[in-house]
Amino acid sequence: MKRHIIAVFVVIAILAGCVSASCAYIPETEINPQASLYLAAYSVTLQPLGDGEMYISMTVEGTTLMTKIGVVEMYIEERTPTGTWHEFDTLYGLDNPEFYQYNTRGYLGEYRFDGTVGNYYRVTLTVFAQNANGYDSGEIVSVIAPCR
Amino acid sequence: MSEQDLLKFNPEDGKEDIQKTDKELMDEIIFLLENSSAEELDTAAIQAKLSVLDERDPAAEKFDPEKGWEAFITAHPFEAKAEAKTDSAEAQPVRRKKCIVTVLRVFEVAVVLAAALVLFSSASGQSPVQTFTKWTADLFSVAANPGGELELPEDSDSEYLSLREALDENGAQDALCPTWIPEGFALDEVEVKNNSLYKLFIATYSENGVEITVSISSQSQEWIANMLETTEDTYIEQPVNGDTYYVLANVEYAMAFCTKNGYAYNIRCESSKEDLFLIIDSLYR
Repeated sequence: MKRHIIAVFVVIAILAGCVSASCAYIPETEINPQASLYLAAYSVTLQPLGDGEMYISMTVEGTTLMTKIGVVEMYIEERTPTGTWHEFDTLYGLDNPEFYQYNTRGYLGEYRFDGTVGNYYRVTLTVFAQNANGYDSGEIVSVIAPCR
Repeated sequence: MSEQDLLKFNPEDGKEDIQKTDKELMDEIIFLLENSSAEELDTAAIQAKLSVLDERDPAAEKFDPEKGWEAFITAHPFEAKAEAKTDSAEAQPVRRKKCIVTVLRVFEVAVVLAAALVLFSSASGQSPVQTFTKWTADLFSVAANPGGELELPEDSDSEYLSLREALDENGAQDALCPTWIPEGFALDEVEVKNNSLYKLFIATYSENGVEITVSISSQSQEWIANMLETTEDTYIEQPVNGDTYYVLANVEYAMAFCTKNGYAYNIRCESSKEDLFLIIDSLYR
């Protein structure tokens, strides 16, 4: 009987563990109250890879099939140990053909740069989607990531 | 020896009996018993034959049943124990005890199921009764609606015939995937995009120009920022199976967004919000 009671409590404890595990961290998600016929959702990842290397991953999802979709502008800022932000680099889709994809519903791209270990960085993307009916653009700011 | 001779006792027969085999003696005893009436039965003859048999094998008379039983238990412990229980006077209490154990086991299972229901329902912000009712309603709703085509035909030129196949073949086996779309809808295409670290899967289903899009992207939850376009600045946080779905609307569709275990799920449904919720439910089936 004692063995059965212990078994019941063990099962309950396991189930409780599963529930708490499923209530995982929800990352930063913003709602942009600017309805769009062309842009559905977009995201930017900024993460340190080590040895001073920083990595940017970007996605842009269209509402339907797009003739052109991607990133118009990538604006990278750096924060020095004194706490001030300044422009680190700016890249444009016009100069970087890999910032766009064609005749697709979504775009996935990436970019790497070398930062200064100890400084912090953030990225602002201007995203873009276009089809035969028109186009739209949107903006997203990344998390602030340390360079390691 | 004739049958008549057998039926008549002769003291001299004792000498002959000694020369007979055990089987012959037994046959004669049986013959006498079967062919003699109660009055005619020659007990002296039978006794004489039994005495001969007894002289040859006295162990039979000296057999001690208790010693034999102990030897049997030693040789066959489990069978002997079972026999003892069945035959013993305690058989009835043992059956009653078994019955009580069965009832306790059923009770244990009921307690575990009830605890699981309470835990999961509280995690999703609903009462256990609501959760159970919703679960059964959804189960019958989906079962009653066979749903649309989640796969492309076998002769399709597409690299992947289904979203599930695309996920499985690109290292995203652990990602959730819809198992139901509304009846009449069919898969148009599955797009898969990769960069060095992440993947993006987009499946589009349609019916007469009305689209349902399911996009799944792998993400680093620590370093990601997501943006969703919507008509209004309000949205619903809908808990489903312990996960939070942001449900909102853009110009032409209802959208649900959720992140779970390193994946972001974005489901856009132009047909109806009810279809959107059924598709979300199907992720967990």
